[in-house]
Amino acid sequence: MLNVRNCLKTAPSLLRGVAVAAMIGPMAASASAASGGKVVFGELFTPASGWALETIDSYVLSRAGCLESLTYMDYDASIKPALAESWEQVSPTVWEFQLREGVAFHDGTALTPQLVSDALNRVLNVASPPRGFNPEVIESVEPAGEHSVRIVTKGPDVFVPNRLASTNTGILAPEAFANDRINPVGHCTGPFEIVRELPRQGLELKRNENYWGGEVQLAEAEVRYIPDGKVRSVMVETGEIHIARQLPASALAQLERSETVEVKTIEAPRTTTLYLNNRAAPLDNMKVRQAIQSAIDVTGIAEAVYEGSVNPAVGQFSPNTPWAPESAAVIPQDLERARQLLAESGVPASELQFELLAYVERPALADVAAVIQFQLQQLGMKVNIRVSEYGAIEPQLLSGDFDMVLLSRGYLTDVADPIGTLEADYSCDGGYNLAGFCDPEVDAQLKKAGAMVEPEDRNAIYRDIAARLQEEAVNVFLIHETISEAVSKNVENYQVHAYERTALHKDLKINSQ
Amino acid sequence: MWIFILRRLAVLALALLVVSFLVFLIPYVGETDPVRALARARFGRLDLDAAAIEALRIELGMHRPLLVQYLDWLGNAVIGDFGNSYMSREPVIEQVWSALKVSIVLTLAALGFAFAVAVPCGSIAALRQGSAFDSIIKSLNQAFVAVPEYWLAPMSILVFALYLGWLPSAGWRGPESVILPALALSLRPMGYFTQVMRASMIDVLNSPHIVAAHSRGLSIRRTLIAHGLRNAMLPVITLFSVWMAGLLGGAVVIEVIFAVPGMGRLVYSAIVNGDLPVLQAGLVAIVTFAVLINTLTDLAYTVLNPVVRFNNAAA
Repeated sequence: MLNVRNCLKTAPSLLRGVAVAAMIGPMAASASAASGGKVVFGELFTPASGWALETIDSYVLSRAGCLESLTYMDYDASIKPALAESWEQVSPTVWEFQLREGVAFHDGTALTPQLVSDALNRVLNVASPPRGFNPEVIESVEPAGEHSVRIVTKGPDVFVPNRLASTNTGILAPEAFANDRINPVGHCTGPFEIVRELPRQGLELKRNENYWGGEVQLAEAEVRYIPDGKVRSVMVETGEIHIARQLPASALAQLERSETVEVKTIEAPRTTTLYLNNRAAPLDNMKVRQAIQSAIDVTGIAEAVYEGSVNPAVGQFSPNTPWAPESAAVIPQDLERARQLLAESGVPASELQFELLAYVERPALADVAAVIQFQLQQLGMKVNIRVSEYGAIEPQLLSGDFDMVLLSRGYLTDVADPIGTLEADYSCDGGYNLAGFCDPEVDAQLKKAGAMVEPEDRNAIYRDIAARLQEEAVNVFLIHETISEAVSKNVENYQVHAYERTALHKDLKINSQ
Repeated sequence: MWIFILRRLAVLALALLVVSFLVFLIPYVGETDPVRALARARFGRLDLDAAAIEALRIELGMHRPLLVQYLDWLGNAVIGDFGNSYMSREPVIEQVWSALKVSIVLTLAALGFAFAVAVPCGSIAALRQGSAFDSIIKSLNQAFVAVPEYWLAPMSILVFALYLGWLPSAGWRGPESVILPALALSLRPMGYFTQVMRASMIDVLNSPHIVAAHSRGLSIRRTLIAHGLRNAMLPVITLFSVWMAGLLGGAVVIEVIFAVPGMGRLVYSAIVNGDLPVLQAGLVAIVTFAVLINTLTDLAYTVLNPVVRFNNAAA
């Protein structure tokens, strides 16, 4: 049957051959002629910090398969060996990491304890070191023998392997810092070596023939910075790129109908939350907060605002994590219960007026705010919405001069453990305790968890705290966010990494069908 | 002529001084703390560490009084040193130059395309006033001027990249990738150019010297080519220079959607990230270019229009 679209697609081929092809190279994402093929990865983030490892630029290098750390956070958030093959806590404040033997940087320099120590000390000594690995936590890093590095912490710390899984602690060869700026070209240890950097456009990579982890399947790879999500979705559909990272919900329906692309969606360690200011009346009243919690239809928000691409929240943590209480369940909208709670609170609904803040950097939050405004109005509350840039509302949030604010918060940002977020958001001295929640008992629990070596022991404490936060409606947890990525069907072994560490890896393959 | 050029250079210096100071104030006039904005951009998180913020503020010298910071920047800028980006800590001049080259190519391609379509279409519409062709051109012009770029750009990607598969969707790799963003960027100026070209050509066609040339027996085509076109194009050349200056830094939407690493995206990111040195150098580059283009346009006017040439010489 005559297909108009196909005809139109092929019609200009002659024109292209004659008029355009002379000046134009082949479409970049076509399979490489070299053995192993080539994959083009559509990255949403454009590095802007000159590859400073303490910044989010380090994530781009890590996803590009270039930068590696001593340890690695796997797809299930477990910590696995990377440049260090083993580690041991020799005393409460001392850890020793045994380096993998035979590892070399792309420029041929051998990885030694001295170079690792230098690299880690370099990131410790920058003006703004990463929160997960900074001089307030780390006392010293030094070589310890022929193959080991010793890390001394200021206090007992069970999270050092987790801290070292951060991309901020990636190890680059000393030559990367030779010219007063950071140059990762030829200076990583990962499965892919940067051949060329196109500033603000992307990276061209080739496989590391001497990779310590074994044979790298792809011959070449490319990272392209494409800030617009819808454009990334079109590009993966046209075959210009093979993997499109983090796509907007609005692009998924079209991609799911595509015959050449597969959409992969997983839960992200991130919860969109309505933060309530617990410090001041009337939100210091638990019954008022619980009434708000009962009035909000989180399932409806997930379905309507996010087009079903996210899951309604059961609490601070997603039900698929070991930190969610077993009994965790979505709190259904129940206006009768909400009215009853409000009556029990002793605060007349007509006196409840709130300003609800949201920020433009996450466009969906403005819609969520509108839904919440409507649902709280059903209880007789008056809600005024103010949507602004995050920077404009931040002073209000930090000074506690607000009623309620919508935020999208990751809970595994510093170390591969939720303790960082729990301490920041829910300890009395927490640096980002917007709710103003303060309970010495929770502080004591968090301190205890911080000294527990066994993850399961810590997890039990996190579950208790999560249950309490939900029960007391300290904040209203709305949705567990997801990450959706689109992958060409001829790409094999690609998995979405919820912690955003990995994209191009040694086992990635492409079929040249 | 030299006096004219010197006068223009003085205007350029004054404009740069005023613009640089106004630009300097941008991050401080809003409610956002520029250091926190910078830190958020660098670390990709909302919950910033207060000690790290203060360390960054001191490292960048942003704890000093505003005027001291400005004079310090101005002193260096005068000798061509625009400093390092607060974000990347790399020399600003490299980033700006790299982006400026991209924007010049994109803008010239867009305006060249607009010009190439507008001049014949506007001329023919003027020659055939009231015809079906004239009506179509007028309708298209209105559509081109009205259509927003945030709609046009994704639609052009859907049609030419996804549906037809003729062109790459985004990126900046070779001439092929210039076509789509340049086309999307060209429609609005094309609408204006065509309207102005048509109106200007009608004026020229009704002017006494054209009527006289025609009455001497010259064909409309020869009259147009020999006498009309050059005069009718003068207002379009003025518009060209205005659009050139505007699009150099003002194609943010197109540059973001098509992932073009040009000036608009650079300056926009600098505003969002609070990257003052990039913002200042970027806008100084745009203003410099705008004034230079206007100067060159005036010179071109002088060459093309004897009346202007005479007035300049008299001045």
